[in-house]
Amino acid sequence: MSGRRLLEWALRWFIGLIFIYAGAIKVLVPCEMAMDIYQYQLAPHALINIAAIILPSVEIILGVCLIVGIAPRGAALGLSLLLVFFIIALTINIIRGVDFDCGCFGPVEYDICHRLMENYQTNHRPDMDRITFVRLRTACDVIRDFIFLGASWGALVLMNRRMKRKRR
Amino acid sequence: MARAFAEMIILVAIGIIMGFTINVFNPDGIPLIGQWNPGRGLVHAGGSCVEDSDMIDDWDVQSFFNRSDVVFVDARSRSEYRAGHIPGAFNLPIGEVDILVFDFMEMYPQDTDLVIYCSGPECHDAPDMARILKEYGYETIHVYWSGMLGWKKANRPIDVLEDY
Repeated sequence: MSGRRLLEWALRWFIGLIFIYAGAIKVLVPCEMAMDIYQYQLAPHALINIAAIILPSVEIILGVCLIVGIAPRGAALGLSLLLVFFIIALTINIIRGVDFDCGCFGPVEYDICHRLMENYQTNHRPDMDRITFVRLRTACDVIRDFIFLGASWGALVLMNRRMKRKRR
Repeated sequence: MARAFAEMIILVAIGIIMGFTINVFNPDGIPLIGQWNPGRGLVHAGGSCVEDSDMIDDWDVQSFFNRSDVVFVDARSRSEYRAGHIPGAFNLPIGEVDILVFDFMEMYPQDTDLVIYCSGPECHDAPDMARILKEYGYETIHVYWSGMLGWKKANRPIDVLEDY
C-alpha cells in the first residue's frame, strides 16, 4: 500500500468513525437533539424536529459509506459540506453571544471542548462570565470542526486523484 | 466532482429515509412539529419528550402560591436562587439533587404538593426534577413552566438572599 493510499485510508476511517459515533449517540434521543437545535436560535421552528430526525441518520450513512467504500467520494463531499454548515452556524453564535450547547456529540457530553473548557475555567478562570465561557468553548468546537473538515476534504482530494490516475 | 455530488445526493436521501424510519419505530420518537413557542408553554419537541407532569401556567400559579400546604421547589443553581427566587421556595439545584434530596425528604414527606420551577419556558430542569422526585416517591408534582421569567413578568414578590 502506497503512502498516499495509506493516508487516504486513515483519513476515511478517522472521519468516518467520528461521524458514525456522533450520529449513533444522537439517533435514538431526538428530544434532546431537537432541544440542542432549538438552542442555536438559527433554525425556523417548523424545521427543528425534522432536522433532529434526519441529521443523525445522515451522519451515520455518510460515515459508514466513507469507510466501507460505497460512493466514498459522495460521502466525503457530504461530510465536508455538513462541516462547513456546522462551522458557519457555530461562528454566527460566537458573534451573537448566544448561550447554547454545540450538541455535536449529543446530549451526553463526551465532547473534548467541554472537558477542556471546564478544566480551564475551574483551574484558571473561576470568575469567567457565562457568555465568555460559551464563546471560548464554541471557538474550540470550530477549531475541532476545521480539523475534521481538513480530514474529510483531504480524503476527497486523495480519492479524486486516485480515480484520475486509474482513468489514465 | 459532478459524480461525487450526485452520489452525495443519493446518500443524503437514503439517510433521510432512514431517519424517518427510525423515528417511526423509536419509542422516544418525535412528531414533525414541536412546541417551540416559549409564549405558549414549555418548549420541547413534543411526543414523549416531556413527562405528563401537571403543568401550571402564570394564571394557576397564584392559587398554588396562596396555599400553605404547597411547597415551591427551585431547580436552578444556588447563585441563581440567591439572586432572586419565589418567596418560600426550597432550592434543590438539579446538579445536586442526589445529595440534597434526603434533607428535602426529611423536611417534606412524599405526600406534599410540590410546584417545581426553573428559569423559564426554555429550561428543562423543572420537568427533569419532577421526573427525579417522582422516582423518590413524590406523587403530586406540578411544573410551573414559565418559571422565574414568568414570575418576574407578572411583578410578583421575589426574595433575594445576601448570604446563602
